[in-house]
This record gives sequence, structure tokens and C-alpha cells, in this order.
Amino acid sequence: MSNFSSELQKIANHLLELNVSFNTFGLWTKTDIFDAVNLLQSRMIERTAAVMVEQELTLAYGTSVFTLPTNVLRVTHAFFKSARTPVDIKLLSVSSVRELDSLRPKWRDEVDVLVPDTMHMDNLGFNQIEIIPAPLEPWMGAPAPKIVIFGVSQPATLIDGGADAMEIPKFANHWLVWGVIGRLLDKPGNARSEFGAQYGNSRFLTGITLLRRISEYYNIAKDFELLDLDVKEASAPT
Amino acid sequence: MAEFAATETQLLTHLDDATIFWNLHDSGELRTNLREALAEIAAMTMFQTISKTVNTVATTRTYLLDAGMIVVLEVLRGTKPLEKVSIRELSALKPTWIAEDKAPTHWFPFGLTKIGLYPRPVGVEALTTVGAGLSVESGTPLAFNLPEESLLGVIAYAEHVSRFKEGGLEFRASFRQLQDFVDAARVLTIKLGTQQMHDSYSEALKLAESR
Repeated sequence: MSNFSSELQKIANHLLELNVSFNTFGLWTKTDIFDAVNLLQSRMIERTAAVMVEQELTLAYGTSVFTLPTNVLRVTHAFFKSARTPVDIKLLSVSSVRELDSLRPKWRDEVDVLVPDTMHMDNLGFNQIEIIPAPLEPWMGAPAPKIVIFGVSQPATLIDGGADAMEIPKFANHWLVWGVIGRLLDKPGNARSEFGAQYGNSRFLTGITLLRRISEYYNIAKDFELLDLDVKEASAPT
Repeated sequence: MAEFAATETQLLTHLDDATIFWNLHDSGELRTNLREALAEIAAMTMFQTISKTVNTVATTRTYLLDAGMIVVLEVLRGTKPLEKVSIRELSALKPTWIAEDKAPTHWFPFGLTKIGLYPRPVGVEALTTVGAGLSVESGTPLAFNLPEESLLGVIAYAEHVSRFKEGGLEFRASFRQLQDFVDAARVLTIKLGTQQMHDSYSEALKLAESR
């Protein structure tokens, strides 16, 4: 919830750069820096669910597959909301194709005027969900139903000299900055410092761990599973 | 409260070649590193309690928290606390909850940067969020809030990150200061009853160092 440009000076200081233009030694470009922060901010949010979004989509009758808005990284909760009065609302259970095939063999052909009860995201196109059964128009000209989605945020891409508001909590900014420094020091060539790169990465991962513990301890992400953290990244060859 | 300027002077005495490496190109460098140390100890120990106002908007369910908030512990409507629930609990107990608009009676965490309200408010109202936050800064000259016994630990952390650009053995030697910080935070968490955060941090730090 602060601008990344205000963190550039800190990165410049740690890398002995003269100023935030990063042209002292020609080791890094702003593209290196913004690519790193865009990659790592998404990763931090994906693994901690620190930033959530709410979206409402209008559905089409007879259709079961829908594309999510681009700012939703993954769905944690989805509610079907009918257009009828009184309104029907149903929290959709999250399932998988494998589970549906074994427990509900005819699910692919299900179309119903009743309220959908299940969703899955397997074997679909990028960023799509399927709801089951597909909603059927209850009467001719019925208004379209909606789906309300709560999900983990896909942060907007930060742009040098443009929109650069970070979405992670302010107290996590320095962990992201250390991750970026780690990435910059992992760049092959004269910029490379294996120890510096490892240190930056380790501080980033420690930050993710602490964010996850805060979420768990204070029941922030109580209803859904946080994605697995234990992904080791290989350093670039020396 | 400890003053930034005096703490920076104290920090400089711990660093070699002060005029060469620090404060040369960025006069705020040490303050930036001190603020990082304060954020680190605040997230680790939850020592700072803050309270901030959230203004509701009609039919808006989720609200962005103040940037200084780390975790919300309580939401008050006037002096009355709203009940904390989870989205799944709400869905089980009040199936139509997402379509209900009325004065809010419950709140739920929505990630670490937002809270949600149930029912959705029907008008503008000032609610109070109370929770753990970043160290409060105030006064002239500018000072920060920190339990006095933790000050040297915070300076040790700032020294450690300041030494990063020295690289090599100088920086490696500063892990002693990082451990001093971890120990100082440990003392504070025992006092505050937040050891779980500290234990997780220490474990993660050891795991990260061993990679």
C-alpha cells in the first residue's frame, strides 16, 4: 500500500549505486528491477493470501464455463446469486474433475433451473472456472444471475515512471525489497554475488513465512489452504 | 519514545568509515534502515497497539485498512465490538449474507490489508479498528515508539542491514548483530505473550540461512 518508487533509494543504497537511475556501474537496468518486483510481489501474495479481492460477474444462462477477471489469482470462495426475488444464494463447493467424475458421473451434462452448488478450475482455459450444474433460464427473459467471487489478488503490474503502487501490506515492503536485491545480485556477469543473492532470497522467504504465520495465528486465512511455501529455487550457474 | 536523530548518531558509532559508506549519497539512509528494523520488530512482536478509523460506504462490503496496521484484533461500532467471523461460518449460519444490507454486526478478515463487514453498511459510519501496527512516529524532533529495552536490538538490526553493502567478511560478521536483534525481540515477545511469531521467525531465519 505504498509506491515502489519510494523503495528504489533503499535498493540503490544497498547496491552502492550513486542514485536511483542505477547507471553508476551499468550492472542493472530499471527493467531488471521492475521485472523482479513484479515477479516477487505476485509470488508473495500467492503464497500468503495477504491481499484479497471481491468481484461480481454476470453469468449467461446455459453456460457453465466463465472467465475470471484478471485481478483474481485464485478463487477462495464463490457464491451463486440468482436474479429471482427472494434471491437464492449458494456458497459453491470447490471440487475437481477427478472428484466429480467419481462421485457425480453425469456432471458434464447437468443443466438446471436450480441453484448451482459446485465449481472447479481443472482442465479449463487460462483463468476460467466451471460451475455445476449450468444455470438454466427459469423463465423467458429472466435477468441474468451473478457470481460473487472472493479471491487472492493478482497485483497490477508496476511500471517505472507510471503506476507503481504496491499491494502488499506496508510492513512487508522490506522483505519484498530484499527479494528484489537478491534477484539483482543473481544476474549473471559482473553484478553477480552468490552470497548477496542468497541473503536477499532468504530474507524474502523469511518474510513470507512470517506473513503466513500471522495469517494462521490470527485466523486470517481460516477458510482455505495457503499454497505450499517449500519451493526451492535454483541459483543461476556461476 | 526515542528520537531518530540521536539513534542515528548512536548507530553511526557502531559503523566503520561512517563518512564514506553511510549518509553520503542518501542522507536518509540510516533512518530508512532504522525504520526497517522497527517494522521487523513490530511484525515479530506485535508490540505496538494502534487504533484507526474506517469510514463505511453504503453497500460496500470490504474496506482497506490503514497502511500502518499489521493485524486487526477488534472492530468497534461506537464502543461496541463487532463479532469476528469467517466467510465460511457466515455462509453456514446466514446463507443469504452476501445480499444483506443493514448496520454491520460482524466483521471478517479479508487478507491482511482489508476487512469485510456483515451486513453491508447502508450508509456512512465511522468504525474503529484496533490492532497491532507499525511503531508510531511523532513529535519534533521526530521520535518513534519502542520499549526502551528493545532499542539496542533495533540498532543492532539496522547495523546489520547497513553493513550489507560492505559485503564479504564485514557483512558476514554482522550476523552477530542480527542475532542480538532476534534475542532482544525474544525478550519482548515473552513480555507480550507473542512468542509464536518469534519462534516462526527464528526457525525461518535458520532455514533460510542453511539454504
